[in-house]
Amino acid sequence: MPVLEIAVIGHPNEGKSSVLSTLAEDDSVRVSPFPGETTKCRAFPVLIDGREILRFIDTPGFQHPERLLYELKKLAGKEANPAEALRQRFVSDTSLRDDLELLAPVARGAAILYVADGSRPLRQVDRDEMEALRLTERPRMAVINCKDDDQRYLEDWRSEFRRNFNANRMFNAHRVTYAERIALLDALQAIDQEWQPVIAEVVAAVKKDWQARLDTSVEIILAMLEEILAFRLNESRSRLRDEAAFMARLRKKYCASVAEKEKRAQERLRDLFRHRRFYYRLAGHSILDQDLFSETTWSLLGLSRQQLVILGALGGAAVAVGLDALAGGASLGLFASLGGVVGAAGAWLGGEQLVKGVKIIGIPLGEESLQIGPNSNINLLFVLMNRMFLYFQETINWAHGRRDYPEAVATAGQAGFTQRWPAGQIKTCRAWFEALIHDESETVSRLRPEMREIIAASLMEISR
Amino acid sequence: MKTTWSIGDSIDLEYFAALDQDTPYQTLRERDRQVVEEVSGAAKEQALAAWLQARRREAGRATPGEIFTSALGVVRLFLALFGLIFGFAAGWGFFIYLGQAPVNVLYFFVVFLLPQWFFLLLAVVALLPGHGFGLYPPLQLAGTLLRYCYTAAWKKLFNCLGAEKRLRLTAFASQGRLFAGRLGKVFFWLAVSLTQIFACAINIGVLASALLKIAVTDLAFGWQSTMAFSAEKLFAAVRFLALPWSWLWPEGVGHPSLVQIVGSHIVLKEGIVRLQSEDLVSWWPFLLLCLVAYGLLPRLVLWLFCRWQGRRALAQSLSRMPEADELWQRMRSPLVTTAGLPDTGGEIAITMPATPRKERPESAPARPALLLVPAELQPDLPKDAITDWLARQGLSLTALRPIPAEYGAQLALPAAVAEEMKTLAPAAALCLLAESWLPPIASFMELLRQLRQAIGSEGQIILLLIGKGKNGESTPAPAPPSSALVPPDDPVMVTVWRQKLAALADPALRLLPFAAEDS
Repeated sequence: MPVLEIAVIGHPNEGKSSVLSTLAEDDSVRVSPFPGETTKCRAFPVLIDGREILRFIDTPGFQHPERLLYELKKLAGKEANPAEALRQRFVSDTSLRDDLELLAPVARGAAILYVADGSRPLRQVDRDEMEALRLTERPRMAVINCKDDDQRYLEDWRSEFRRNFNANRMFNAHRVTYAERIALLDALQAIDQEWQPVIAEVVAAVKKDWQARLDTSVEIILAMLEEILAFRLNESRSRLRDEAAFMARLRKKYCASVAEKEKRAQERLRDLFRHRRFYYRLAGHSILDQDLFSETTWSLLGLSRQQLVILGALGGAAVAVGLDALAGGASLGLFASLGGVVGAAGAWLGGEQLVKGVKIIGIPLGEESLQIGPNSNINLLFVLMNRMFLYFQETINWAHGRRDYPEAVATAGQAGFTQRWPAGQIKTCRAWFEALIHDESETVSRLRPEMREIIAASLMEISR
Repeated sequence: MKTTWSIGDSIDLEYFAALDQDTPYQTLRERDRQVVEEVSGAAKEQALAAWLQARRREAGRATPGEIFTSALGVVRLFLALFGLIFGFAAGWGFFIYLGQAPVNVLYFFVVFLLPQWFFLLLAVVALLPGHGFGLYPPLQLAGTLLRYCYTAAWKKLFNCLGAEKRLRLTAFASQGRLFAGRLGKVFFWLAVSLTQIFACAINIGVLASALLKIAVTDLAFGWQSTMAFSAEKLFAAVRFLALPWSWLWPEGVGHPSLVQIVGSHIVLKEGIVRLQSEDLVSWWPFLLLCLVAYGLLPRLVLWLFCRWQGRRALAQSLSRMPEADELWQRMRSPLVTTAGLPDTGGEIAITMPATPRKERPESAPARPALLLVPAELQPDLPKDAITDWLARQGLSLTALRPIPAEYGAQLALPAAVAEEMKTLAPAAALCLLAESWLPPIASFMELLRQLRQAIGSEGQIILLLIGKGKNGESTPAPAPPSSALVPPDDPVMVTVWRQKLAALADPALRLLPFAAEDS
């Protein structure tokens, strides 16, 4: 059975390549605000278990719509395949190169997905294009890809589409989410009744693939959390060396390692969702530089006051200090304690109160050797989880057709994803965290399925 | 009339015209009119030169034309000095006589004259009308091969680039072609004249070194050949070569006599002892005069010819620059203001405002304009707004014609427009209205080309570019076309239009985007 083809056709600069890039999750497609980016047809096969069952074709924009319509009108009714007849007739006319190129898949029998920018007025050239496509007698559907939020012309477009196409649909190639992508694929079933089974198979396969990606994402996040939270760093120190400088270097190294592990996990997520150009960059641990016991920080962490009380009641001395500090309105700068340090590090940690209140994890390995980590502060777990959820959200919803890549995004101001978690989930997190930092592998394994479920539920909610 | 126009002026004129591209027409008129008042009665070149001076003063820094002129001076000086040193060194090394081997006069011809004649011949062939090199099939073949390689490489490079770079490259190449079309000949003659300066300097250097050597050393000249080459034949050749000056310096002075030639024949086996000193020195005036007559003078003549041709090409280039015509037109059109004076409470003010030129002129001698509008826009076109806009550009809207939507009807448009343009004044402009947010597709560009072909290369075509306006407060707002003109919304699209038009390499085609201050 021949592979079904869908040619994405339209006026230049209407976002055909963006639509296709998003639909096919392929950000290698050349997209630019300058018209004429696509000069040759390019195929985007849809493979299921290595078997090609559908193929999208990106095409150049119309360059002579009036003339094409004029010639197609002459051929309509006389030729079984007007598009092919027109191609044959003008094969040597180089001025029609782009137009003949875009008609090539149509002449082969491809269905048409007509893309138009609904944020601009409808013009005669657009009507000519639609009419010309109607004369090719191929199944066709229209997609409105609004390049800006000007809605004044939408109704004109819709009513024109109703005259010329079997179906039409809104699809913003720059803002579309996964769910809307699936919806467009679903809608393609309306293009032709005969194509329904194939399109349905594609949609089912894409949904399964998406679920598999979600499962893998959960594993990536869990693995990263386990790695970072249990992370220890050992360093030897000469007696003669400046202690403060050594501590600072050690802390820097620890932070860099944590950041590197987090970045690796983010890159795995990025690859999983087939982004090669887009890289959502969260600013360094910006939240870590803030006063962790301020109410703002709780909210940034994704923890409500109530959740924090639960965590405190569960026995975290760090949190208890935090609550005390909050009551007194003092700022302790606890996060300077990232990775507790042993030895004569009290002053370095930021004051007597901190040393008194916080149980610092870390064992001296000898006079010359120091260990930093694992971090005793459960807040790190929530910081990392929320950052990964934010990264996941931005990555899955970043349309592959977009090219306006953002600068590094600070986490400050982002609502925490964990804020609505019930007490039971918080308790599980706490228990899992304690088991991790105390190296209780049996408990870690026992709680792992629960943690997986908690994270999976959050990812599912985000991807909806 | 003596022209004072220089290449630097032409470069600067193009430069300032490019800078003025987005300046409102009214501002340009007021500024340019002020300049012409300072040089009233001047001819076009002088007025334009005065305008350039004013612009240069205003720029306050070196302009491309000034930089070019300075650089050209340095290149000339360098070539002259280098040629002199090179020629002097070559002559100093050649004229050496240590009492054993006299300077071989035949070598002198081979080293100092034959190569010059060869290059002179090449230069003359290259300067022949219709590209003399085309006369030779091997060169023609090489040219075809070169063109083929160039086209293939260009295509390959082109296909690798994105739309933006392709567009920019095409525009750049077309502007390069346009520039070459205007100033190509000027630069060609300039390059040839520079080579003549170099060649003249070499000849002067050789002459100087030879004279110096002759004056301060004991030089001897002779001739020798393995072939049976009689002295009579050599004498005949020498006499022939000396024809240009033999009327002034006869045999024995301007060139050696037969006896002297026989007397300076070197036969290595016999040595030079038997040769007479008078015969051995009799050659030098002839050799130096040969260098003057067959080396220096042809180069001087060619240099003068190149300068003359260069000046001619420069004068022609000025007439091929629509920017110059437009500027000249602006300078000559008087500013007429009919604005009412401020209300003085019943009394009629009789004093003129202190700065009359700052007044906004409402009418001025305007060129007639024929406006072509897409048929679908015509019914709701804000005609008054368009008329006002064109008036501010020094144009008077004479007629408005629709661009038919149907391809068949479009085919007949250029001929009909050409007919209508003939009925208007010779300086009439053809205007086309286009919407900036619609990308300039090939069919529109072809229409522009066909219109240009139909109306001829002189008539100005102005593409008026408008926008669609931002989304209004009330959404959805009434559908377009709107009742007022709106500036293009997206600067990227204006750039696209500009570069697409630049790619047409049409010097009399201008883009005029509607500006906010026009409304």
